[in-house]
Amino acid sequence: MKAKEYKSGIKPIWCPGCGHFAVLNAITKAFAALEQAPENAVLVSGIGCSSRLPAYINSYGFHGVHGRALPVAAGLKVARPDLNVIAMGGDGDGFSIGGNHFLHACRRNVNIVYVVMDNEVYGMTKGQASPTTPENWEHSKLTPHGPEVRPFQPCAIALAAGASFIARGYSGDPNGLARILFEAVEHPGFAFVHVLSQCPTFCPEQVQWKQSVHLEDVSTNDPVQAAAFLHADDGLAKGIFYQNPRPIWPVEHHTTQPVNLRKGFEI
Amino acid sequence: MSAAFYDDSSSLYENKGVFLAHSIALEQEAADRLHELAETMAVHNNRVLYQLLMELAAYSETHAANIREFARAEGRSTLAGQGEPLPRFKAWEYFWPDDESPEIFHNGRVHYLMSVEDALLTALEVEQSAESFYRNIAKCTANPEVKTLAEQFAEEEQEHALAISTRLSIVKDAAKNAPSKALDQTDFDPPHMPE
Amino acid sequence: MSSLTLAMVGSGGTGVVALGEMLLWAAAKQGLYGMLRKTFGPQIRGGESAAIVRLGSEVVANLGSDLELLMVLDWNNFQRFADEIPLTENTVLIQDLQAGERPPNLPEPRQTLTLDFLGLAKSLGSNHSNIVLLAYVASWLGCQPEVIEAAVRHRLKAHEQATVELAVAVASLGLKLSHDQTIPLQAPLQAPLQAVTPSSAKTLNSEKLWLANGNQLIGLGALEAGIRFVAAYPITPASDVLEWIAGQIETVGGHLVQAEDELAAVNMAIGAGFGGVPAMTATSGPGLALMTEAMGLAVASETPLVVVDVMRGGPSTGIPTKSEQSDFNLAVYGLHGDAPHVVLSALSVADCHFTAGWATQIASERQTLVILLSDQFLGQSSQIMPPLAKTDFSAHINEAHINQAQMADESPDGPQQSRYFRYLDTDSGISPLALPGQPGGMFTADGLEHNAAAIPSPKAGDHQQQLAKRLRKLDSLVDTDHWAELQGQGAILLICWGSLYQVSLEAQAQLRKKGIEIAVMGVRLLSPLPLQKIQQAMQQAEKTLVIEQNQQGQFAHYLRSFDLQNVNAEPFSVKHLDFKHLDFKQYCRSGPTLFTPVEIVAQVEALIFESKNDEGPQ
Repeated sequence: MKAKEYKSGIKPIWCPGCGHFAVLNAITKAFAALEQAPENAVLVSGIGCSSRLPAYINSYGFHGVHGRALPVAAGLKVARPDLNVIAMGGDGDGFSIGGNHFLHACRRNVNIVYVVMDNEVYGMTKGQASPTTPENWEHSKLTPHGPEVRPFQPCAIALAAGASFIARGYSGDPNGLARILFEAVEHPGFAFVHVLSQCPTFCPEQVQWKQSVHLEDVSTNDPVQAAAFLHADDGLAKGIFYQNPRPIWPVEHHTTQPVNLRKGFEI
Repeated sequence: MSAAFYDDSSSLYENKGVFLAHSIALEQEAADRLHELAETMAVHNNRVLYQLLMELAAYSETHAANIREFARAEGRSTLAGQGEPLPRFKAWEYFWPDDESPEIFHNGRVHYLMSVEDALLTALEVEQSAESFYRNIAKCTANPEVKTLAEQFAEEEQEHALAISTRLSIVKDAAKNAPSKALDQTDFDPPHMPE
Repeated sequence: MSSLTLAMVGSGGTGVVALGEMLLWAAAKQGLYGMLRKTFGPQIRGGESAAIVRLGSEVVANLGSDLELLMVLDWNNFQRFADEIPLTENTVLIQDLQAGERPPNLPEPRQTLTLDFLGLAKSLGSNHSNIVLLAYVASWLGCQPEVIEAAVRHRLKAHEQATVELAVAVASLGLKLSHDQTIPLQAPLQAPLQAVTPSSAKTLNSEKLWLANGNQLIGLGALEAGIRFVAAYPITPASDVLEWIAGQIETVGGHLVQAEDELAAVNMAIGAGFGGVPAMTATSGPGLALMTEAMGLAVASETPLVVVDVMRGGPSTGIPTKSEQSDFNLAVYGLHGDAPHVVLSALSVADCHFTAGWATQIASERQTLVILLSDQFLGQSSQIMPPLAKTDFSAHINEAHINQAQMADESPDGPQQSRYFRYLDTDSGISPLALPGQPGGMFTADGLEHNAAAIPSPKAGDHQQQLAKRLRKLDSLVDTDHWAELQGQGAILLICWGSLYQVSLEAQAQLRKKGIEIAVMGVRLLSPLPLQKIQQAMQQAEKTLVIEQNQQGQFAHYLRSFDLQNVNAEPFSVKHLDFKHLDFKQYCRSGPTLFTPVEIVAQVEALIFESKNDEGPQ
């Protein structure tokens, strides 16, 4: 199938110029390269602008509640290992309300991909600061002095929490993002893909990312080297940073004999 | 033939099949992006931009079709079983000078109240970018067939740029003759909260 | 029913709970029925604990009202359990020589026997006075020495041989003591003892009896009906549901995931349910509160989901180890928006099996949320019972019919082409469900309001259509016979739900002995409530009494909210309505003390007395 044929035909509600269009296109391009059967892919999301994405793809989708894309995706994948399950959402959805699930999804290493479209802002609720908003960003009425809180470091935290694949893409480079997504799907285990996805409405300054984003395909399997890189990262590096497959969950314990469930109750 | 075979950007300059595959992708990606933007403008009730972008998309679509037709006439086809097929590339395997294909309408320039003038300016830029892509190939290639084609495509891009340029000056003149020269750009519709 | 109730109390590793377990096991081996309730202090280890065992020659499904025998190894902190172990002047007390001072303010026991259980154990180099006491009491009950020894060996099977052999030797001292120091058979003990002596037990057929608690039986019912995915977050008193399943689910090809919190647990179950794998989670009040947002998602996205709530004392952390029926409101009303869903209650320990199976089937066939209410009493009380019949319930999703839902989409935001209408507005309200992997069925399930084609829509028409559809698909549930258990007929109708049903049945039996016939209704289907059926039953009685174990009378308020006297409840089999019959009295009180048959009998008698006064002397 051609990339275009992976679009559902439902028209996105995103603002013109929104970075999420690039993610949508990157997914279709990655699917084309993967020769993905549309009925065997499921896109799972939470709430927010980016979480609208599943409906725009010609596959199965689940648009759940705020912050809970990862548990839905993990439950689905454990129950249906035959499916290609991709969880997705925004920075508020994934790192704030869903932060606990992010940590445990990294640890658990279920074989799913998690794409976070990070525009450093809550778009659906009109531009409040998110966990990744710069400390001094003063454009929200809710935090008139800026959030005055150190931004969340998604990739470094993913590494510390045990993610086995960590990468960053950029909405200005949908082809590069398609490559990352392709590799993320192929990776056995939990693959975290952080995407710098510009918000033209609330953070028009993010257009400048185009000049600052730089390719750093570190792609190490050494967590110490990855940690050194990520702690020195300016947040604008793109590429696959870390790839270190480890046993995926659930570990299959082959129970040879079907057990009589009732036996244990007999006296 | 998979693209992994062409692991070096010189194939773009030297291999006619690779060159044609890029030319088709360049126009098709431009068309797809313009379609997407047009529909987005429609969703945001910018009818004027919708019309313009659809029109531009149609040109790119036609150009892509023309190159495909040319390739088919050459005995190449993207369809299986028709002569020597064009090589197929994954999205990230193309040898573009930048992150995206040269004629693609930059998302970073887009706004929902984008004016016709802004859109034409961007369209002009991307046509010029496509032209220089072809000019560079024509300059560097040692393959005479590729050189001829690259020059031809560069000419075509130049014509498109000229056409857009003409249209742009008409729009600019119209703006000059408008009663108020400086249009107030205030957006009286601030963003709202859909969820 | 004749029965004998024994309580055993101790602290700091005296092993009274193990004593209760061994006693129940030995009784079961002798062909007796019985039930064991454990109760604990707040300490993880070494705290005070108590076990209550009620034995009888027929199935024992509640703890009754009386305590015939109290066995105390240690009086320390007895006051903590004083509410739950109601000493009366008829109770016979057996205490260890070193049990300490009996607390003041307790009723004087009928008789006190002080024996040196600990001294006997120590004579063999053991601390296990509980084993001495076990052998002593079990022997008095008529259990054969081999059975008592087997009970000890069974309980200690995970231990080293030396430990087991020492315990067996200690038990023999208890046996010997029972010959030297028998408990005198005075009046209060005689009849109960005769009722439970093994010779009076019914001859058993070849089937072995079961020993199970409600939490385990929920697991069994769910797995047998087809649950193949369970997400778990530990919480008292629901953890045993999850732990039992964890030990079994892989053998039937399923999975259990321990989640990071209840929010994750319920969403994981929703994910699996969306994938067509019948899924469940189990929790208690605080966890249920956390799950409510996602339960609304299951309703809106029409994803099958079973949530078990093993209720404990609330609100907040409340009384985690003790029983209460106070999550009714949360289960029925807790979801935001208009979110029709199913709420069931298990009516006995054994019924946990049946109702879990039914919950599983309803969730799948109606593509919705089913909340199953159990409580700490049902969940953690072990009961001896005849083997349970397998139910016919199964989680079946009919995925074959999605072709009927392929049609042109004409909505302006849609793709303007033929597509599968996931949320097709059908007569039954149930739409053909496609599962991931099925070609031609691609759709995005959504918690956002959507149209029939599963495209997000804020339109009034779509909202009304989908709300109505989701409500309508539960309508026919009220036609099922499973909605309630109804026993007997009489001037009084007693309506209850959950664990109060078995207590009410015993109250009914006690009233019958006094010449009073009542009808008892245990409601299994709490929502949607089969209103007409309830009205019909009320119509056939003079008076109705609704009882429940929560402070505010949550179910009674709910029942009253339907305005029973004015709602048209056609068709009635009775000739004409007597509106007076459609009013009811309520009796509710909080936990954690259990309802007793005597307490219910008193309420029914008060109602009868009141009725007689109402009629007046004129």
